[in-house]
Amino acid sequence: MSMDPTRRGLLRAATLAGIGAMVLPGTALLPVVQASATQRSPASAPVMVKGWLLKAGDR
Amino acid sequence: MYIDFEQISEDSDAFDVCIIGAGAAGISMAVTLSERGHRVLLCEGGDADYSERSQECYRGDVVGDPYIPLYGARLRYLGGSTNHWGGVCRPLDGYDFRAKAAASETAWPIERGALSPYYRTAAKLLDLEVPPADQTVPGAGLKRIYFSLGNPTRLKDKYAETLRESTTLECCLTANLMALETQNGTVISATFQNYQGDYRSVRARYFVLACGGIENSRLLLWCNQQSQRQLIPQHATLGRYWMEHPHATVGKALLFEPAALGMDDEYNIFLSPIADALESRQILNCGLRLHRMNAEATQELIEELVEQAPALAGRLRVWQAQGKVIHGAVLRAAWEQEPRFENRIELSQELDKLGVPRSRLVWQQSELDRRTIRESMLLLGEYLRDNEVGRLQLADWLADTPVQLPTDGELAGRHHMGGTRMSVTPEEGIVDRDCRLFAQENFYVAGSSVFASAGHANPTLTLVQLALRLCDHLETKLASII
Ligand SMILES: Cc1cc2nc3c(=O)[nH]c(=O)nc-3n(C[C@H](O)[C@H](O)[C@H](O)COP(=O)(O)OP(=O)(O)OC[C@H]3O[C@@H](n4cnc5c(N)ncnc54)[C@H](O)[C@@H]3O)c2cc1C
Repeated sequence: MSMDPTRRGLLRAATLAGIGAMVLPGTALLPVVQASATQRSPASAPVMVKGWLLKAGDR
Repeated sequence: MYIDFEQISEDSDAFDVCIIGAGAAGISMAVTLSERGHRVLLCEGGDADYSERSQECYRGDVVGDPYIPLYGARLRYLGGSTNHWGGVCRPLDGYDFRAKAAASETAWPIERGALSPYYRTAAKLLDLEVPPADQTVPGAGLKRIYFSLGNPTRLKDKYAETLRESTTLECCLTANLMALETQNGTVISATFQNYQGDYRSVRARYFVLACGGIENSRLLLWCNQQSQRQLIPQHATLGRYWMEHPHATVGKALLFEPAALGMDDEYNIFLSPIADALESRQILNCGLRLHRMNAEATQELIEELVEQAPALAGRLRVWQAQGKVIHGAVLRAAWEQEPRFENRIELSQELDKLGVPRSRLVWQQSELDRRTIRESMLLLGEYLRDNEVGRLQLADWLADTPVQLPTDGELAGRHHMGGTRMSVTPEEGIVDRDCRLFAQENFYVAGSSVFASAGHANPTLTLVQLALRLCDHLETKLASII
């Protein structure tokens, strides 16, 4: 990956949100229901719509 | 005072302590020990300001998950990465030092109490304001936390006069560590090279390696190889258990009751799971950062939410008509990475201009790392929802399973930790509780490379606390010689 070799480039690195991307990560998270099934009561089971964590009644 | 490379004394009793690397750890120690009257030599590989001839030594490869190029993830000159750090600080939590339910490798061989006596001095050294104490958010499994967020101190400027004037501190620039000579469990000399190819060997009672969270591993790997493993005979963990703080924008929240989290008064608030939540959710530590949106962005978020939750529309309209304050917030996070043997610094085949093999970082986030950020967000989202404090939306990459971590954006904090892990035995790590190499009675490591685990807090305050603790340790040792 090419990088701006100047000092300004490095100082800018401190303020920019981020730089580059290279490889896609491979491993997966347990699906949420599986991962937390033992800890949570069914009443609070998340209803997720487009990433929003909602109550069933919100719909 | 500054000395030229050729002026470095090769006498056997010239220095009490030779500190290698003048960043946050090295300068903290050099200033502290010299103020106490000890004769200190501070050897900095870089120049007084940025130079390409020095910075190029920081090029290296990255293998695994997307990461910031090593060349741009730190600075190699007097002051080190404090020349572009953000100054955001917070001590680690007490439970960060213990074995966590989700990964027992997080245990340090010391408790937070061993560092607490150095908190105020470290904060003063870094010009930090001491923030308020954490507060539990009732019924949330979360606590409100605080960071010092002042102007980042540039240590080379703050201590410019001491570095220039002190009669007990000699500071030599362009002195790059090349080799360590060891005899019967004692490091007898450290050899340095400048950019003209000249060499000097330094003898001192004690040596401290303080070259940063990647170079400490790289230099010890290199010096150990040259010494035919005399330096670190039990080297299985050298460079291993390397960690970062993954950083990302993780979602948004709409707060109907911003006062429940303190967002009525403040634009930025910080939360993290309490110890019980870490245990019940089987996760590591995580810092959630909520940044308040302006009115326009909040309105857009209300509309987005109403599209998915039409039954909320009426209530939201009434609240708005009543003048109730509702805030949108962008959520960012920095989370703890599982200490894993597989994540490591190793030596590459390619040499830098000084002839030292470059670093290769092998780094991957684990299933637990992904779980930590997703579950932390669910913890907050469920609290907001179940207590009618608001609603939370996970970023796309977190909402879908399996979680696909972002391949751009912040990625990580440029916090380089582990590699010369502190441990009880040499089988499990590289330095002991006092930050000493197990096999050498006079050689120490300073910096976040000794962290056994990383918590979620930015590392510099902790590494300066450790450095100050090491000063006290060396002081006791030096007193016993006299
Ligand atoms: C952009 C950015 C922002 C950051 N923001 C924060 C923040 O907000 N809060 C926080 O806590 N931390 C932050 N950090 C991390 C922080 O900068 C580091 O934790 C800190 O600087 C580490 O101190 P150190 O002394 O261990 O290493 P460094 O500061 O890296 O210093 C190491 C020194 O060793 C020298 N050296 C290297 N190789 C050799 C050699 N072979 N021989 C002799 N000398 C050598 C280097 O030139 C350098 O001066 C940030 C880092 C970056 C890059």
